[in-house]
Amino acid sequence: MPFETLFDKYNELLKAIITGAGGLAGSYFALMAIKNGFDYANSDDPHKKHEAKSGFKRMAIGAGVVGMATYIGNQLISFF
Amino acid sequence: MWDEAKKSFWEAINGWLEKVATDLAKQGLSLAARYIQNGVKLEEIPYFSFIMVTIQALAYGLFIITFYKEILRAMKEDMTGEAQPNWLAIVGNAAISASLITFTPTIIKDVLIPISNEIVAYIADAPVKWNIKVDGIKLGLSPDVALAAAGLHLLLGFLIWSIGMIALVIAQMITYAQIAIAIWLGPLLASSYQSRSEIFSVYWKEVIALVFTPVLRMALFVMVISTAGKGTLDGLLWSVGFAIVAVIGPSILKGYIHKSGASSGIVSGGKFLFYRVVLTRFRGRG
Repeated sequence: MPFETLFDKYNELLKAIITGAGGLAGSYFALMAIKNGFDYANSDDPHKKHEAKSGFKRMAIGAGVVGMATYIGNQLISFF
Repeated sequence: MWDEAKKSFWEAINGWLEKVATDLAKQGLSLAARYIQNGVKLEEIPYFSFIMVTIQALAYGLFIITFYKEILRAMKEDMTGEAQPNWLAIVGNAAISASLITFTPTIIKDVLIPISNEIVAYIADAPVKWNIKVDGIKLGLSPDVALAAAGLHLLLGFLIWSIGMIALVIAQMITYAQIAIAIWLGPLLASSYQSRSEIFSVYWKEVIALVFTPVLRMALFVMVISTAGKGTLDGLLWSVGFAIVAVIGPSILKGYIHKSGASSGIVSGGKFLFYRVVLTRFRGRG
């Protein structure tokens, strides 16, 4: 297998992994948004409300980290 | 008649041994001077840079895969309520991993190896009485005159010593190959730093032992030549002893480094410094 083809295949594999992981992360965000939103709206306990808020914060940071990983991954694929 | 036959037999053996020993010693010393005295020269290894770039490209791919693996693991734990994700640690480890993929070969090639080569050059300048430019060897034994008259035991000792020289050069070449493989493996191991950081301290122990093996070998090479320079059988035997230790050099260094924990100290110190800087900036902004 020529060197270029080998790297093309490798890049395709990476793209597939990034897409798959992005999809999984999307599912996580959707689920966590529903869970935290539900907890926040349906609870009268201030502690639970605070926890739901923290959950939203963690989710937002997670979204940033996933965005960063996707950006770095795409940059690396286009570089090689 | 018997005496004459015996004499010519011994003369023939002496002549043959002298020729073989001188030739081997000449080649051995010239190669040893080239490879042991000059330190590590990575440009002698074919396709080194090409393989390095390829492995770094593969390592960056593995880095992304490991980064996603860590992110997804943290998300899973958050979702199931097992643990809250530590995003700072995940991003910090990813940053260390990416930096190590980029800089591990550079640290070894441009920092550690030049230091090792400088020490080798310093030891090579030691005022040892040897002369490797002569036709044959001047170690109190002149190949043209003294060897034939020296006696068979001395000739055999000299032959063993000459083979020891060749073995020393082969050991040095093995070390070159091991250093090259260690440099190539560095980025691949760095890509898994995020999930298995402990593997990297073991890696650095091996690398430091390998890179500084030529220093130990050069110091022993000085001993090899100094002791052989006496021109006696016991001098040659001492010399062979030092040559054997020089051949098995890396295992000695590895043992000392593993016991002293020098490299793990370097790795954990660097890690501590990184987190300290990140946390200080984080607090400063908050």
